Amino acid sequence: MRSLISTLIFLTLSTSVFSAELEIKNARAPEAPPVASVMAGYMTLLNHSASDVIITGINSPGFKEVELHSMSMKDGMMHMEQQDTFTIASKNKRELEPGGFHLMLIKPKKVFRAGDAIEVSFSYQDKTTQTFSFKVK
Amino acid sequence: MKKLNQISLIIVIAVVSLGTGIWLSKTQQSKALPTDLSATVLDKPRTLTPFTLVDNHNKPFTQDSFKGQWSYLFFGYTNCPDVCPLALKVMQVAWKSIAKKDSAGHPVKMYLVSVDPDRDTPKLLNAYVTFFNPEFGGLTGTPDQIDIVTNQLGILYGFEDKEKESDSYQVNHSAQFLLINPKGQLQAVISPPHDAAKITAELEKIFEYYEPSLWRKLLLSLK
Repeated sequence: MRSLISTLIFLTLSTSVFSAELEIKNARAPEAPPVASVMAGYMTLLNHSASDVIITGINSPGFKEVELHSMSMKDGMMHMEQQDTFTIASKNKRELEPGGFHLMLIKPKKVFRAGDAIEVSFSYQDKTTQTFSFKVK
Repeated sequence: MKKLNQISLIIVIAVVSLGTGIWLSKTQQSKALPTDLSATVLDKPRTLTPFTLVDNHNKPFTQDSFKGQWSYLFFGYTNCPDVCPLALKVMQVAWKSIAKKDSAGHPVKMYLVSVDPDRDTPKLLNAYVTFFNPEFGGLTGTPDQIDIVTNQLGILYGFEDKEKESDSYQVNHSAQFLLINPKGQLQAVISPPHDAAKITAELEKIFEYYEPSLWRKLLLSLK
């Protein structure tokens, strides 16, 4: 009986441990010139969970590096600023979109053409990762 | 009687001709500056001072190269992930329906001016811009040559984290399109956000302002 109760408690606790995950919608990367050394990634990030989700790292097997940047107009110029972390608050969403926050996919390992898939992994504050792919359009 | 009719006819023709001449000269002075556009049209177009760049075929490109054509300019660089390809994409879409020449036959051109000559060679620029449209061109030069152009056109740019051993740095830059008229003068500034339909529609209005049609001259003279 005691072991049954222990098992039930363990199972209950396991299923309620938070594991960061986002719903990723409308992810796309505009096709870039074949000579381009960077591409942009855009998407909607939805956090349906009760806790904030914080992206702490991004990588892709198709690129040397992936960064997340903000874009703003300052002193008459467009400025990009790399984000070390990116928080999607609980029950909230954030957009990566043209002229705003965006993924900067740096030094592609091949020429990506319209229809090709790009795989990206987000690392989260709880040390979990989430991998997804989206199309070049 | 016949002679009287002939004299009357001559007088009428003379009066009409004189009136037409006065009317035409008046309309040159009374062109209405379009102020309801997204673009800012200059009522006093700015003549460009001498400069020398190279185009995407590594040929010299000077202030005289603008004469006889309308030229859109966008200042950026090919390592730009978002703003520059987005602007070129907008112009790519606009190009499908934009007027390719004005009523006087001046063609319309589009140039990406790279402010990052260390990485953007003419050959690279050519491959980059022609991806968006084979008719698009690229311009670049030495930093001093580029500054002669940007300074007189009000274009700002600057480098971040640019170190000699690394080719990974960012360039901050202005994001407006500039429109140069067939006299080689800055005629209009189109600030972001950029819209292909507006660019197309407003170019027609800028053409009308630059060289009004006969019908428009008549309307302007009646105001």
